[in-house]
Amino acid sequence: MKSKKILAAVLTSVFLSTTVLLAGCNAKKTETEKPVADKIDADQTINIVGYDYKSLDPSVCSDAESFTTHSNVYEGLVKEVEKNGVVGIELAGAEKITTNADKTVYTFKLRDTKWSDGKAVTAQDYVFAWTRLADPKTAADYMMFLDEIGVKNAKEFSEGKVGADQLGVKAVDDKTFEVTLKAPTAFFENACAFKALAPGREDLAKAQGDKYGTDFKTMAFNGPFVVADYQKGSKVVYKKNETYWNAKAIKLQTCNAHVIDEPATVVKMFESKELDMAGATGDDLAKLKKKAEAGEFKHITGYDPSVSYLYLNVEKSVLKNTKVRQALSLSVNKQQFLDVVFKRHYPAYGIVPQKMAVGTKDYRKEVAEPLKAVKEDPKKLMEEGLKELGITDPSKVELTILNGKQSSTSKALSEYFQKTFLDTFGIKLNIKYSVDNPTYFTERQKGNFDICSGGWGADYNDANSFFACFTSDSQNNNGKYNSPEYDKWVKDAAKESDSAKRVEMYKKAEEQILVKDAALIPTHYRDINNFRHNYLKGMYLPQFGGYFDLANVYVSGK
Amino acid sequence: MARYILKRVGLMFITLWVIATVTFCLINSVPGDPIGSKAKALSPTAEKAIRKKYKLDQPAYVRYADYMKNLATGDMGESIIFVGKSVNTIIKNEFPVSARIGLQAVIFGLVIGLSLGILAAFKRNTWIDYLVILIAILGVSIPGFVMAILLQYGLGGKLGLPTIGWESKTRFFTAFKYTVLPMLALSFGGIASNARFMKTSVLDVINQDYVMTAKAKGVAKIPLIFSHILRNALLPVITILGPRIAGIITGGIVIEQIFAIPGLGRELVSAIGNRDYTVIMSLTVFFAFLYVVSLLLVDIAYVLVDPRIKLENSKK
Repeated sequence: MKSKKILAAVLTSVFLSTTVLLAGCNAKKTETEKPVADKIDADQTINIVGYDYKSLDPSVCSDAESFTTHSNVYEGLVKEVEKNGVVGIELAGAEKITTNADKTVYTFKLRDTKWSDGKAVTAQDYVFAWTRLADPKTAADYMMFLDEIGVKNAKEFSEGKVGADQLGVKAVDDKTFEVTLKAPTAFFENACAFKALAPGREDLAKAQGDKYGTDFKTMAFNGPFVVADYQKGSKVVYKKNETYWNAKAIKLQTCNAHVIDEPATVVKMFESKELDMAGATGDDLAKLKKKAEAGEFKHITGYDPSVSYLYLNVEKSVLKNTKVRQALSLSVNKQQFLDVVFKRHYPAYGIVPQKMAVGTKDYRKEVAEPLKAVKEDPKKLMEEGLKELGITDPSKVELTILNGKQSSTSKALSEYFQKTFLDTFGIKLNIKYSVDNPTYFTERQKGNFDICSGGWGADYNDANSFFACFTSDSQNNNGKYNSPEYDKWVKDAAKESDSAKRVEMYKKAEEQILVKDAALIPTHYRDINNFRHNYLKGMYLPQFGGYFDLANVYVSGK
Repeated sequence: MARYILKRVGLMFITLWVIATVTFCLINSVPGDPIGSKAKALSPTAEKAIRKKYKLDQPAYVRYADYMKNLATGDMGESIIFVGKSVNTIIKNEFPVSARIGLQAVIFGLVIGLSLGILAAFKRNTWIDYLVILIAILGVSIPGFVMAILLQYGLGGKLGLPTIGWESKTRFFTAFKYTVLPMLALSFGGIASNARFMKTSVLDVINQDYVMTAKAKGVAKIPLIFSHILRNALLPVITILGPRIAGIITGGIVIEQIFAIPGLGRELVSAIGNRDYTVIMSLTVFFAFLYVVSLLLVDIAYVLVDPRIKLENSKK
C-alpha cells in the first residue's frame, strides 16, 4: 500500500526519464501458446536483460529489480499466474489454504518441498521470514506490510510494544503455518504472493549476521531456479534448481540476465540475437514494431498495473478551491496529451488501471472511469472558483509544477500543461525540475509544490493498492488530500469480504477523489511493449513483483 | 630520498583527510538522503527504524567522527542501499576489474600512442605524420563514450567480440575478448594525446645540441635514436603517466556503464544516484588514494630515470 517504493519511483520517473523500466523487459502479458506441439531445443539457455538485486534476503528489499530475482529463486505460499487474461494466484509453497468462519485465521498446509541445500522447507521458515520483515531491528522498507495486510499485532511488534511471540504468525507443526489477522482482510490471499513473504532460513541468517543475503554462494533457494553466478553491474546467472519440487516441469536450464543501462545497446543486442527479449522506447519502439509486423519477432503489448497522475496540493494557493482544481482537471485532453508527450500509453480517467481485482471481480470491468462522464465547462468552473477566492484576473495566478530530473519527456510533459493552462485559463504555470530523484522525492514528500507529477504501481492484485495511497494518513498522499468520506470508504472496503459491496465502496471513493474533490489529475496508464524472438516461449511478465518469471520458459526452434 | 618520501607520504594522508572531509560536507549538503532514494513513502515507524540502523538519526558531526574513526582502522563502512555489503568487499571484488581494464588501456595507449608519436616525428611532413595528426585530432575531439557506442555498433557481437559483459569468476584475469572493445574505447583519447605529446617531445630533443654532437662524433642511427633521442624524449611522458593511470581507472566510469563491466567506476555512479553515503565517501577516498599514490610514484620514477633531477631534501 504505502509501498513498492522503487517501482513507484520508477513509474514517476516515467516523467523524468524513460529508460529504467523501458530498457528492460517490462511487458507483463503472457502469450497464448500451445506448448504441447513445440519441439524443445537441446540448448535451453536464454539471454535477457537483468537487474542488480539489492540483497538476496527478500525482507530488506523494496524494489522491483530485487523482486525479479526473488520471484525466480524463492517460492512463497502462493504465486501470481495469469489464466485466460485474468491475473490471479495459484498454490505454490502451500498445498491447501483453510480459514475459520470469520476469515481471521488462515491455515496453510505446506507442500513437501526442499531448499537447494537439501533441507526441508518448514513452517518455521515462514515464521522466521515474516517475523524478520516486521522486526524493527531488520529496519525493512516493507516493515509495515504485515500490518497493512492485517496481521495481528504486526504494528505493535514493529513499534517495539510487544515481542515476536505476540505476532499473529505461528508454526503449528513443521508443515502447518498459521496466520491470525486482527480483522478480516479482503485481499489477504492475493497479498501472500508478495515477494517479501517468501520463507527464509534462520540458521543461515544467524550464522551470517549482517552479511545474510549478500553472497549467493551462501544462500539456499526454494524456487524453480538458483542464482548460480552474480557480478553486480554485469549479470545474474540463473540455473535450474534440481531440488525444486516441480523440477521436472522446468525446461529452462540457464538464463543469463545482463545488466545493461543503455537502451540503445539493448535494442542492438536484441536485433543481433545476443538478447532474446527486449523492451524499447521512442524511435526504437517504432522500428521494432515495424520489424515485428513483418514477423521477424513477436511484439507483446499490455497494461502495466500502474497509473500516472498529477498531484494537486490542496493546501496551496488557488488549489485550495475545489472548483479551481476541477477546472484544471477537466482542461486536460488526455488523448491529445499522450499524442504530444509520449505517443504511447493509454489515457486515464480513473485511478485504477485495467485488470485489477477486487476480490473475485475485475474492478475496471465493473466500474466505468469516473472522469469520462463529466462534461462541465472548465472555463466556467475556473471563473467561479477564482471569484470565490476574490480573484478577478487569472493572469495574476501563478502555479509551479515540480518535476523529477529534466529530460525531454519531463520537459514535454510540463510544457504541455503550461500551454494548456495558459490557453484555457490564462494561468501561468512555472516549471521546476529537480537535480535528481532523491531530491525530487524529498521535495515531494514535504509537499513543496503546487502541482507535481507522480505515479503508483500496485504491490498486489487488489484495487486497494491504489486507493490506499490517498487516504489522509498515507505517506504517499503528497498532495495532502484529506476527505473523511474517502478515508471511510477505502478503510471499510479493505475489511469487507463481499466483492460486490467492495466494488461499490471503491466506486464512490474514486468518484469522490477525482470528480467531487479533484485532488488528482490522472493522466495515463502505462502500456507495455515487449519484444521476443519467435523461439522464446512461455515467458511470463508478472504484474506484481518483478519483471520476469522464468518458470514456464523454454526455447523452441532457435 | 627516504626523508622526502616520508614527508610525501605524510602529506598524502593530510590530502586524503581533506578530501574525505570535503566530500563528507558536500554529500551532506545535497538535498535528499539514502532514505529518500531507497524508499519513498515509508511509514514513520519503518523510517525511524531505518534511520536508527544507519545512524542517520544522528547529527552529521557524530557520523563524521564515526566514519573517520572507522576509516582510520581500514573499515570503509557498509552500503545503505545494498544491505549488508561492506565497501571493503565491494573494492575487493570490483577494483581488480577496473584495474584490468584501466591498466590494459594505459599500456595499449602508451605503446600505440608513443610509437605513432615517434613515427610522426621522424617522418615529419610525410603522409604518416598527417595521418597521426588526423588520429590525434579525432582522438581528442571524440569523447570516449561516443567511441564506445560506435565500437559497440560496429564490432559488438562480431569477430567473437561480445557487445557487453565480463567473466565474473576471474575478475582481473577475464578472457581477453571481453576487454577488447572497452580497451579501445578507453585508450583512444590516450593514444591521441600520447602521440601528440611524444611527437613534440621527440622534435624538441632532435634539435638539441647533444644530438648534433652525437651525430657529429659518428653515433650510428639506431643507437642515436634509442639512447640519445628517445631516452630523453620519454622523460616528459612520465609526467603525464601518473595522472593518466589514475584517471583511466576512474575515467572508466562511463565505459564501464556502457559495456556492463562490473567495476568501481560504475559502482560510484550508482552510489551517487542512490545517495549511498558510505559508498560515495569511501570510493572517493579510495580513488583519491590511487591518485596521490600514482603522483608520488611518478615523482620517484622521475628521479630514478633522470639523474639531473634532485629532490629537494637530498641535495644538502
